[in-house]
Amino acid sequence: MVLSIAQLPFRRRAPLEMLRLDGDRDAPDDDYTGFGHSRVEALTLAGRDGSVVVRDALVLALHCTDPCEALADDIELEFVLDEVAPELSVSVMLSTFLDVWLPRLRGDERAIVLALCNPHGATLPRPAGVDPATPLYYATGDVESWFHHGVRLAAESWHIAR
Amino acid sequence: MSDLSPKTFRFALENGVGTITLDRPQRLNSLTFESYLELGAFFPALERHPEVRSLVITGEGTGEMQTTGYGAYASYHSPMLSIMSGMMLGSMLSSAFHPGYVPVYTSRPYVTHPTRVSQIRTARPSRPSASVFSRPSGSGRSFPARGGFRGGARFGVRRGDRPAPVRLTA
Repeated sequence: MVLSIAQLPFRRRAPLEMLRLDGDRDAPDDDYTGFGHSRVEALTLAGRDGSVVVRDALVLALHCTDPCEALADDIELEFVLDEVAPELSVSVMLSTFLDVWLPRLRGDERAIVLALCNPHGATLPRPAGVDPATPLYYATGDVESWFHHGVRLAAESWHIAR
Repeated sequence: MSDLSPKTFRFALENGVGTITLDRPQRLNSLTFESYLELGAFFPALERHPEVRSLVITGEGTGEMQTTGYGAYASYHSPMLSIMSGMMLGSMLSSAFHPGYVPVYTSRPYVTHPTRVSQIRTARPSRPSASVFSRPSGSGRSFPARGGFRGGARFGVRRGDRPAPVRLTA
């Protein structure tokens, strides 16, 4: 049983598998609930106004809850833990989750990317312990993974946590 | 008129209609570096020419018809494909050699009328549009994998019949 945030089975995974890009789908899987972290050599963050290629990034695959409470500077995450117990899921505030998990995951990556829907457009502050030299990218709106000449995360827009 | 006497292709002007004829039938009228450069210089000259009002681009010999099948596909013929390919060739050449070119059938750069966007999206589901990254998930966004796009996942839980999550605070 998961009793704390630190006990979440937030594991390192292969990038394509973590982002559900290991199949041959025409459209993103709306029912995907997988989560984890991965080091990605290069990925494109595509938004309405253009895209940016991020290299050597720590990518965190996360999910917001549904419905997701509208908060100005935080997002409520949901972890579906079917592997622990059927239909068990827990929710955690993103800020709290990052406080617990980022120090464990950090290496010498050049950027951090949150693959996470942000339906209410929360403006995220830079987490404690993340220096300005390592940008943390987050999106507004829905985030979907695609594969098109490499890994691509599509959203309304992408921002760097300040 | 000397600037309208190309060396690597033919040009004729009659009643305001200019005709560029790519003349390498042995190579199916494929462009060479020389013809590419000359075309690049030729288009602006056409624009300045007072008599040229429209332009036809064609090719000599069988190469003109290569879009209807060549080699192992020689028996294949599709009028619609030929028409489409002709339009694409003209559009490609216009864009390549004269980026500021405005098609004759419109007074401004061609854009799909907003009322037709949904029809086109329906008719050409494999065409990634500019709105691909702006629409919310679950809106039917779909690209066949053979088009180069492969779908992955959306990063939000769909509640559905799932019970509400248990909140962890620490």
